[in-house]
Amino acid sequence: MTERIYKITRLFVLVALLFSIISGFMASPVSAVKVKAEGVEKEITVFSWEDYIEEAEDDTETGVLEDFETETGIKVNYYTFATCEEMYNELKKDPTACDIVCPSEYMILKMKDEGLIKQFNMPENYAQNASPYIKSVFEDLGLSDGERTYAVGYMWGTMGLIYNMDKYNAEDLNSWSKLYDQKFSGKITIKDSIRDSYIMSLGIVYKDELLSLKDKLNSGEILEAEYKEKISEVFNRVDEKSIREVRDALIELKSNLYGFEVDAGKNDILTGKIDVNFAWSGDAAYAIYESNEGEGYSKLGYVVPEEGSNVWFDGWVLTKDADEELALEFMDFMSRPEIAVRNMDYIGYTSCIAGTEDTSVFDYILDCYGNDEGEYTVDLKYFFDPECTTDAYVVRTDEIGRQFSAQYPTEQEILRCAVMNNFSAQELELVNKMWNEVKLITLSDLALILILVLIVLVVLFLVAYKYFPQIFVIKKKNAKRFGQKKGWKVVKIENFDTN
Amino acid sequence: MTEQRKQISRTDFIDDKKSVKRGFTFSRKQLCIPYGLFLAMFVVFPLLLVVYYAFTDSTGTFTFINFLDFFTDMTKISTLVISVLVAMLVTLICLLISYPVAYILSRMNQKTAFVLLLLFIMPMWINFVLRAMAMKEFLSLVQLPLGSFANIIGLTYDYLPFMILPLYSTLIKTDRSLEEAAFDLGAGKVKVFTSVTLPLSFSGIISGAMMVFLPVMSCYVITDTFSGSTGFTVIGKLIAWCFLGENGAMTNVNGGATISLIMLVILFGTMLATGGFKKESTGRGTNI
Repeated sequence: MTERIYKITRLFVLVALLFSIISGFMASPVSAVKVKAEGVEKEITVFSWEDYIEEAEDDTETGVLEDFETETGIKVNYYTFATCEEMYNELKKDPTACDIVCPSEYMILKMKDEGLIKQFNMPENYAQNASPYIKSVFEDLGLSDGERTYAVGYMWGTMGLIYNMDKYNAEDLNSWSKLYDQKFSGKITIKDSIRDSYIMSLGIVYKDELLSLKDKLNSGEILEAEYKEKISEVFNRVDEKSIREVRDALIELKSNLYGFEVDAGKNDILTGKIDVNFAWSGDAAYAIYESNEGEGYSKLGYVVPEEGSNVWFDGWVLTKDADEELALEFMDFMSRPEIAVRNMDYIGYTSCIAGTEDTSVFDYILDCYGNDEGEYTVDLKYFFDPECTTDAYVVRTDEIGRQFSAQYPTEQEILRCAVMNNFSAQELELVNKMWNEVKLITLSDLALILILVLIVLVVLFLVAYKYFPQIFVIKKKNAKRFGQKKGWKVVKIENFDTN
Repeated sequence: MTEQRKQISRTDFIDDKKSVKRGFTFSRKQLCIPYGLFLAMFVVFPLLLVVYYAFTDSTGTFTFINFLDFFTDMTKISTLVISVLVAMLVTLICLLISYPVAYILSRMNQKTAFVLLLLFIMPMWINFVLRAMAMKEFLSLVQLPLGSFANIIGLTYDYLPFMILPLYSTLIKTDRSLEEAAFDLGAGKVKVFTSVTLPLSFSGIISGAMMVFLPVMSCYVITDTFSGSTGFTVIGKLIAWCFLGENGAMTNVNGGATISLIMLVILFGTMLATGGFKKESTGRGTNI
């Protein structure tokens, strides 16, 4: 009887153990993103790029998110992602995982098409302070109609080349095709990112077409709007011929590269491991800033090649089931010029906020780059106020071709930059395959067969050695025993008595 | 009489507090349950998922299209073949380097050998990504360009300890008297080695080779570090691309699962070829 009790108890303990293990797994969050505690009245979940919002550097300061929390009483759950695709997968798995996301423009378009995000009224601060340039781009992309919008811009920038100014000058790199130059051999990195490297290669493949368009613009044959439209068409070509030519261009470029990277480039160029780095403007601004401040670094410069390049935007979007009211309050807060300046100062990218009455953004630019005896004058009215007729937005600076150019491209530079649309599923598949062929080695049929034969031989040898070892025992005919070699006689003892 | 004694002992057993406690001990079978559960959850279930995804398309219908895609894509096949070749090469290099090391260590004064062995094993305590980065810096210091050759160096460097350890533990366990007997019977040093020591350490070679060959095929972090722009990449990178959809690539879980399944087939093939499933008197389990 008692024994049975033990057994039952034992069973019970085991079952309890089992349940605790299982419930342990069940309780762990299915999605890394979603942690929505119940009972807390006001909170929003923000999902953004790593290092993309100002954070407090020590205990005495507060970061942007803390300030938002204390001012509005809304709790912010902040999560980060490293690539847009990672974010997209997360959101696909659980569309309610977060309220506000900060993807790039092509991903915003894709999410809009798939109905993952919703339209909302433009936050007041954004409507008032956002750069007219950014607003018009968002309208062109079909993301906004002036009142209702799918996204509010956060940061933006171009893609270009960071280069070592001590060794080269801007003329050495004013065209994408100069990357083939032997003098850069083994000293270039490009992005390990399909879209970015693709648009760069389009610049290589369609160099003549792009440059002739530019000549036409300069000679007045075509107008700016037409030029813009035409280069945008070139930079969005994904037909089979273009993909093939891009592949060939990239494979040819490979032998001149140091490698592909997404993150290491800005440090590699600082340490002098490489001389040229295909980079996002924000990274360029960071690297140039570091090279100015730090000891022993080379002087770095940033150039957007003549053919043109990519201009990109990151914006806040609202997921389908997000709490609109709270989320808008967050976007509104992030669109304040002084908050924009804080973020900009922290991460080094360029904010989409320009500010009208509040001039803190322009003051920040003057503060960073302004120099009354500067060599160059740059008019930034395209960004701040295109209708401005005075010199209100003219900056006198020495920093052209350096950090200032990385943060605020000139009007000419921005004119030759195009937005890259989202690839359709079929296009993406083709481009993906192309990228595999670029990154991986494709063997010729002969080499493939030879290697296969070699592998089969090795496997056969191993199998034979393991399962039929007798094959490998070499039997020598008339093998002499050790004693015989030395002339000893082997005596056979008969009737040997072991006792 | 015996009946009575049994009766008595039984009551003793129940009354004795210590013995009551003993009643709660788990049997061997029951102790296996947590591990069995773990196995089911983290090995069997994911494997079933891999098989499921490999044979379905994105909508979940049964199809062979993933395998067709893989075996008609020259780039993917090339990567697989290169991976196998590279894995073989790295295994061979590791073996050639570690066998003498393990042999010498096993014949040394055991106290000295222990210290030396530690020196060889110590890198294993450092994360392999860090080791790879350090090696990369070293290569750039000696002006060796990144590429396929650097890849081989990096892979060999990272997997060397995995070869030394099983070889050492097999060699140290071999019965020295067998070698002495062969020697006494007139075999030369070379003959002793090829006929006695080498065959006896075969199980160590196999388990070392398995610990190098299979991981090398999927270790894309190292090839990422060392390959620069022109070096080769192993098949693991393709799987990672499929699942992570890294940097603008689209995710293709089904394609990734297919490659994983192909890798699994290769794994079982290797195990079969090297007799990993065969019961051996030397016992592979003792090696590491």
